[in-house]
Amino acid sequence: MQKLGDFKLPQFFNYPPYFTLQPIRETREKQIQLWKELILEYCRSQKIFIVGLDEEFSLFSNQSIERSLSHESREVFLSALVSEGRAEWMDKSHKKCLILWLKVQDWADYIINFVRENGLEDSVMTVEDIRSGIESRGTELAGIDRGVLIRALKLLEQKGKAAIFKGSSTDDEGVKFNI
Amino acid sequence: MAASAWLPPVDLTDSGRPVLFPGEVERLFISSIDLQAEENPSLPPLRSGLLTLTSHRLLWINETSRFAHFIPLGSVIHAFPPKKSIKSMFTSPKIRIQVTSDSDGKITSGKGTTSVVITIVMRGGKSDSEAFYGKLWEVLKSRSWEVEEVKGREDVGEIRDSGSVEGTSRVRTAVVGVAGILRKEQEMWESTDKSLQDAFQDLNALMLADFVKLPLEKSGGMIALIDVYCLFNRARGTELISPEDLLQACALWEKYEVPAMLRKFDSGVMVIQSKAHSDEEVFARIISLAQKPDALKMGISPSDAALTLGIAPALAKEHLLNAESRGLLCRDVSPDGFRFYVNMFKEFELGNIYLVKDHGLYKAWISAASLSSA
Repeated sequence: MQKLGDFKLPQFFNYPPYFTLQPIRETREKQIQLWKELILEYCRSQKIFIVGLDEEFSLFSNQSIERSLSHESREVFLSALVSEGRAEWMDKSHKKCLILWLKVQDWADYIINFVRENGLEDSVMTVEDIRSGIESRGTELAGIDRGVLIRALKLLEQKGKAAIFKGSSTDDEGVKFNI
Repeated sequence: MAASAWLPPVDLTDSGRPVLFPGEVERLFISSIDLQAEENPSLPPLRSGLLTLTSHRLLWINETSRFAHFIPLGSVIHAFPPKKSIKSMFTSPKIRIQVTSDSDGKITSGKGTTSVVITIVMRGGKSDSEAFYGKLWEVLKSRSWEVEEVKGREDVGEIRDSGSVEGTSRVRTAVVGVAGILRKEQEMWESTDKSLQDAFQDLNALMLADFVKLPLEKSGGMIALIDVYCLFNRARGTELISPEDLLQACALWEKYEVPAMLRKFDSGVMVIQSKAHSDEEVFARIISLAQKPDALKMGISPSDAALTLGIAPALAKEHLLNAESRGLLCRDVSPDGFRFYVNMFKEFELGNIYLVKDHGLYKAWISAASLSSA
């Protein structure tokens, strides 16, 4: 079966009707669920956080069967993710969508585990460290969207589990965990 | 004074039906009618009966059909048109007729010495007084009761001028005999829309003569209504029927043992469908077509289905859309056109998107799809 990058595509990706928004409610419901799952899986594997509706997104086309999702269908499937809290529109005109293949709360939990497993409770880390430091390699945190990371850290801050402060240089904040 | 004192009685059969004179034909019925001799209160009114306008008389039958009276049309001197006024909008419509009578006010068939005005009051909510008035005038003008008088004279042998009377009676006796029966039937239908009745009678007759049956069979059990309309009018030649007439006629088929029915698809397209040609049977054929290896890979277009089902492409598309709405098929819209595939969404598993069961449609589709791309 085909791959997109190193992501293995399911067989039904070659089923032409998969790329046409189905009018019959029951069929469409199933189609939407399948696309939601596929989008999340794909974005997770490729560490994609932002999907632009009018930009090229390889998952939305299938060259081998010469089909691609219409603008309308893309919006329908992404909106379905937004309704479920697994994505957010970044603008009113729905041109860009932030994919939360892990919800912000899930990220916060992930970070706590990460900190514990690496014994980082008492150290101070920069936000950038968390994103691209040695410890985060091979974890989901590697390459995490900066905006999402900060939201997760702020969530932890609200719960008193972390403290965020400005670093010496203007472009990086530091975090101290308080688990 | 009883009503029979001023209005001659009508003979009724055991079932309460009026006995008509020879050649007398019923033309119009209105219920909830009062007859009143307004100027003469001593003549008792007749309340709430069934008024029947015939070619010869105005019959009034009481509600329980136990007694009836009539006004001979030959005695009607004048019929006044219904008044239109603000007041008349809120009261029951009335039509007044001036009728010859004897000095007591009794209506006679023969010549009377004076006249009375009788008011026909229409108490039923839906009465159309203008229509009745128009019909009354028609009947009065045609003077059908005089034929019988002529014939009567013939029988009695009172013909003086054989030439002219014979000539007259030759034309007039068309109301009796076979021609008379036909005309009687004809006139019975006249209170309903003429073109509809003609259309219905013809369609019914033509159906019984397999008019629609053969085209139906040839078209795989389904023809668009517009095509039936064209076929029918072409066969008819003149006095073409309107689409509405056809629609109404088809709607009447339900009452008869006609093996065809009118059917409307969601899209609004209307067809005549053979009753032998059920949806389930069509779906079965569509599904089996959609599961052939070629169709699994490429789907089916309306023309593919049309070929298989033996019906017109436009109607085939209706069937495909119908099957789609039942969840049997799903659509593929692309620059190549509009195609349908067997619905495989049910085979795909949420939470397990790589799963393909060993046997089944999904597996078959994968084989079919990959064979050609190999």
